[in-house]
Amino acid sequence: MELKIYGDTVSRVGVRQITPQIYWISHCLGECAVEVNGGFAADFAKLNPILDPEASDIIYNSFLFMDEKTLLVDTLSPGQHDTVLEALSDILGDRKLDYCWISHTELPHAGNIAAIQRAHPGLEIMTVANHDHYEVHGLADATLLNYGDVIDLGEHKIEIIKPLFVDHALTQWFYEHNTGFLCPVDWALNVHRADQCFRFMDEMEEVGYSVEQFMHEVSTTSRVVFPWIRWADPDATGEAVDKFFEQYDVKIFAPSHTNVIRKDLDKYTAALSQAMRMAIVGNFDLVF
Amino acid sequence: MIRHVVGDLYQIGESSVGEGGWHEAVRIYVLLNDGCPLIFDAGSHVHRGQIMAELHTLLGDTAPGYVFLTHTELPHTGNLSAILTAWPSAKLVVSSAILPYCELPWWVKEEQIMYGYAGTNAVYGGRAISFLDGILKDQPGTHWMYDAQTGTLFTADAFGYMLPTNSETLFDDEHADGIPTDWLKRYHASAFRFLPQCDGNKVNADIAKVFAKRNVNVIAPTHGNAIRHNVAQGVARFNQAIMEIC
Ligand SMILES: [Fe+2]
Ligand SMILES: [Fe+2]
Ligand SMILES: [Fe+2]
Repeated sequence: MELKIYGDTVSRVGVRQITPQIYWISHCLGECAVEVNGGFAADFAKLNPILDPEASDIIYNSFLFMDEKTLLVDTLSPGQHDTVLEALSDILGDRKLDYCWISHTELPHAGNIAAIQRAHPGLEIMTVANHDHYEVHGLADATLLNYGDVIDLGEHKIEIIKPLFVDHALTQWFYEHNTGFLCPVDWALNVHRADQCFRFMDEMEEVGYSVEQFMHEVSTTSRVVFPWIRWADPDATGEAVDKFFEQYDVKIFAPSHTNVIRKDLDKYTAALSQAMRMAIVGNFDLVF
Repeated sequence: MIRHVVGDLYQIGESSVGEGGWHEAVRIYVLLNDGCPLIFDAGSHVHRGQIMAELHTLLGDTAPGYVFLTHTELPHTGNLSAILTAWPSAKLVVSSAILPYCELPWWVKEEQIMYGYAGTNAVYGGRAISFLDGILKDQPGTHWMYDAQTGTLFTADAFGYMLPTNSETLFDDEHADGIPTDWLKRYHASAFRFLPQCDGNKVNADIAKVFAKRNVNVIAPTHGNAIRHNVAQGVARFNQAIMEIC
C-alpha cells in the first residue's frame, strides 16, 4: 500500500492517491484510539451488538485535486493543524493552492482554514450560498456557491449539489463529472480497528470488513450524525437514496468520515439505502 | 448589551445584521452564582470587544469558574480564546459526546476540560447544573443544560429567533404579544435545513418530553433573547413555527 504518514496520534495524517490527480489526506488515531476517544466507537457497538467493539477509530478526510487548478476539500481538524499543512506542501510542491471548498463550517472540517489561508496567500475559499451571517462562521470573504454551480479545474468539473442529509445549515455536497467522485460529507460514517487504518474500502474487505458490517455501522452512526432522521419517513428516505444514485453515476464515494469506496459501488449504495431505513426505525437512546 | 433576565441570570452579546435587516443574535448567558460565575457559550469572535467589556463590567473582579459550551461551532466558541486568556483558571465544560482534539481549538489544554454527561447532574461552584441531549440541533455533539435554581433551560440553537432592528434586545414580555411565530419560523427554517424532511408532530412531541420533565421558567437560546415571562406561549409559538416549516 502506498502511504505517506505525517505526525502521530492526534496529529497523524496519511496521504494516499485515489487517481493520478486526486489525493486522499486523512486523519485517524490508530493504536491510541481508545485512549484518546475513550472507546467512542465501542459505544456504537453497545447500541448495536452486531458492530465490532474493537473498532474504535474514526476517519477525518480531506481531498486534494491537482488539475490545471488545485482544490482542497475541507481542512481536517484542529489536532492536525501542522501536519495538514506539511502534507499539502509536499503534494503541491511548487504549485499554489487555488481553491479550498468548505463542506460545512464545523471545526473538524473547517478548523484549519485560517492557517491554510496564511500559508497560501491568494487562496479562494468557497462555501455554501443562500445563507446569512457568514462573518460569525469566519467565512466573511468566501465565494458563495449555489446548487448547480460548477468549479472548473480543467479536466475535473465539480458540481455543487443539494445534500440528501444535512446537519449543519451551511452544508453542501459535490459531484465531479469526469471521475464520478462524490463527496457526501458526513453521510455514511463508519469505524475501523487499529490494524485497518488508511485503507480503501476494497482493502478493508481484505482484513475482515464486509458490506454487511458497513450497513450496520451506517445504520447506527447515522442516528448520531443525523439525529433528526428519527423524525423522517423510512420509506421516503430509502427511496430518496435510491433515486440519488440513479441520478448520479458515482464511481468514487468519498465522504468525510468513511473509507474511500472505489470498487463495487452498487453493493455499497444498496447497503446505504437499507442502512438509512434501519437507522430511522432504530433506537436513538436519547436523554430528554 | 448587558440585560438582566431573572434571579442571577444575565444575558450579554451582540447580533449580526443579515438580509432584510433581520438580526441574528449571538448570546452569552451568565449566572453570577455568588462568587463563582458560570458562563454559557463564549460568543462570536466578531463581537470580541463588546463581549469582553460586558463580561468585565458584569463580573467585576470575580473570575468565572466555568465556561459551559452547548456545542463547538464558531458562533459559540469564537471568543473562547479571549475569555480563557482573561481568566485562565476557568474550566471548560463540554458535552461528553465531543472529541476535544478535533472539535475544540488546538490550544485548549486537556487539564482545562470537564465533561457533562446527558442524564446527569453535577455541581459547579455550589450550583447544580443538569445535562440532557440537544433535542433539536445542528451539530451531533450538542447538549442542552438546565439550571434548577432559576429554572433556565439552555437550548443552544433551538428556540432562536430573528429580530427586527427595533426589538434587538427585548425579552418576550417587552413585546406587545410575546415573540411572533414568524420570527421563530424565520430562524428555524434557516438554521435547521433538514426540517422539511421531518414530521413536525414528531419534533414537537420530542420537545414536549423535555418540558414535561422539568420546571422551565426561562428558555435561553443562543440566537435570540431569553424567553422569561411566558414559556408556554413561547413553546406554543415554536410548535406552530415547526408545523409551518415541516
Ligand atoms: Fe463531520
Ligand atoms: Fe449550531
Ligand atoms: Fe449556533
